[in-house]
Amino acid sequence: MNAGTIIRGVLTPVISIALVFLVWDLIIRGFGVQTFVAPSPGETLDALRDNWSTLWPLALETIRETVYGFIVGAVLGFVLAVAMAQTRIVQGLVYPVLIVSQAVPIIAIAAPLVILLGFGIAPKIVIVAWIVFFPVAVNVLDGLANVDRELLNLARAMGGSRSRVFLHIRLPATVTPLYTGLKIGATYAVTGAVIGELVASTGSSLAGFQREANSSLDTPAVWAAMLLMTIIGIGWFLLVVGVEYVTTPWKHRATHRRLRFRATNDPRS
Amino acid sequence: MTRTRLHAILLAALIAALALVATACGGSDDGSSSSAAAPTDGATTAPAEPVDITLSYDWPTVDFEATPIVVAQQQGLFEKHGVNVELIFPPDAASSAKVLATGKSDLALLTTTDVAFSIDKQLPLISIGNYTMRNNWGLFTKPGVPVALDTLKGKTISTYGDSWTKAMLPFVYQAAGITSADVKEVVVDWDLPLLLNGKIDVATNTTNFMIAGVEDETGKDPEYLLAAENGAPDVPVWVYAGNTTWLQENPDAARGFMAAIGEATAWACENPEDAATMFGDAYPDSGYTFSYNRIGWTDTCRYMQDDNGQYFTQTDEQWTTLGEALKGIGELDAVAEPAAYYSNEYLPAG
Repeated sequence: MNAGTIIRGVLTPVISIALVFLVWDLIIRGFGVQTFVAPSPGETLDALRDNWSTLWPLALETIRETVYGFIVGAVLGFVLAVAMAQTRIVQGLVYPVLIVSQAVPIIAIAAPLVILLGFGIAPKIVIVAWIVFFPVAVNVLDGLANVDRELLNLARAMGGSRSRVFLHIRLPATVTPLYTGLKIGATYAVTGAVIGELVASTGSSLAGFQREANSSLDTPAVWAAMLLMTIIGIGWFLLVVGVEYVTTPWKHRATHRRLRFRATNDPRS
Repeated sequence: MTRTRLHAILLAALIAALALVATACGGSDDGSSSSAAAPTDGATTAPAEPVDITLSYDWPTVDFEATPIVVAQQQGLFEKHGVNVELIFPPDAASSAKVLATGKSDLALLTTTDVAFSIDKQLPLISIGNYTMRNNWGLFTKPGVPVALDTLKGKTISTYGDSWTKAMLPFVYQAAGITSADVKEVVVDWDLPLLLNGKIDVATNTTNFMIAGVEDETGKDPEYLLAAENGAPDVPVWVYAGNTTWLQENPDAARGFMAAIGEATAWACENPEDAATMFGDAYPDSGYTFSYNRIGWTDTCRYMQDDNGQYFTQTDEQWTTLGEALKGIGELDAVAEPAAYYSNEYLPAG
């Protein structure tokens, strides 16, 4: 990894997030927003530090809900997409349900889920999975639908069976759209977990902490919990990006080799 | 299908969608339209031009606790006392105090804990009259399932994760000789369906909302245990509060508001059926049945007067007791002087 890559990959996101904090601080100071309405970044970070011993165990629980729900949603979305791609009638039956599932306000189904599944982790997993499975299913289905026709015809002409064509041509074509779906799902997964926590939780939760702090007019603590939720969401997204980087080496290595080749063989250099 | 025809269909669908959006945006507001009846008798110091007052409700949506406001609007009592009141709704249950403190509203209906925390944070607001005079918060079970202090151990108890419950529940636990470790506390968004479906054993709520909810759903009364009779302080749950700057600039308007609300409250408590009908007519889309509104409002009235039959009047003791309760659970570092929390100077004479 050269210096340019490090700057592009690490420094620019850090700078952009720093800019977000700067703009946030300028808005609070510039408009004279009072702390009980919206705290500054400094006040939020102070509240995060002061409440860390309470917030961290709650964050671990939220992370657990997010991870389990994400895995369930991703697997479900992938399986559904493959099933829909294989049979038109399945696609005709399932695709409208997919759309309807996302049109239903998640908060409306959250309460019945708690009645059915109780106060534990189960309803949170279902809500997160509900949010995650859709982008995965739609993207993977899109990938399967856009496999090169000529490649498929060639494979069939060469006597490739349906299962071998699927394994060697169709399935690899889902990798890029799968990660796109996973990255979208990763950013929303924490939101799902928090919605589940808001509707019902045994004991404490990040959302419960937030509600209690709001009830006590402790706005910096509310924002500290929000910041922690955001960090979990970003962390989960970066983890998916990291896994994509490791599991799809051809994407970046091929480009690098090509760039290095061009750099060393370009007559202008 | 030809491309032209497809375009025509898409265009028609787009126009229909836009028309739908335009209709939705241009729809009339529900609720607070007042078909004012003739003012009732009574002394008034109404100025020529009524003073516009914005009142922030204590909940994001309307419910029967707004009955006095609706009655005052419908019977022209606000006009009679020289004010014109618009009811607005905060984005969440904890934000009404913020709306008031920032001057986005002039008055607000708040819980007493909202006021206590606001004063602790030095927000510019003060309570100007009790809404209810006593503590009607308690523990509830399904119809036919008795609730008692000695049966709480091991039960699943729901809370809303709010500061009032956090302040009151320890008193009940103490009276029962248990701690929070002896029960399973769950934080919920809506307790009624969970209670009726047996997912929780005990719900924490106020009598007016829980009795109305259970009776409206099942036709039976829930069993309940009033916290004030089981160790918790008997302090009011809700108050009318005002922005201090606005109160200094508009003391007569504040008095006019309280005078109108006083007349409306008295009338509504004497005529709960009519008051519930009036509320239902003003907010036909509230989602609540007439039965729910009638039961809820009737129960609310049980807690609106003190032992002398007085509405609104606040005492040093109620605020000190609440402050000490909040300090006891670590929610307040210090209890302020009672005068920091309230003023009775805007109450109607007599």
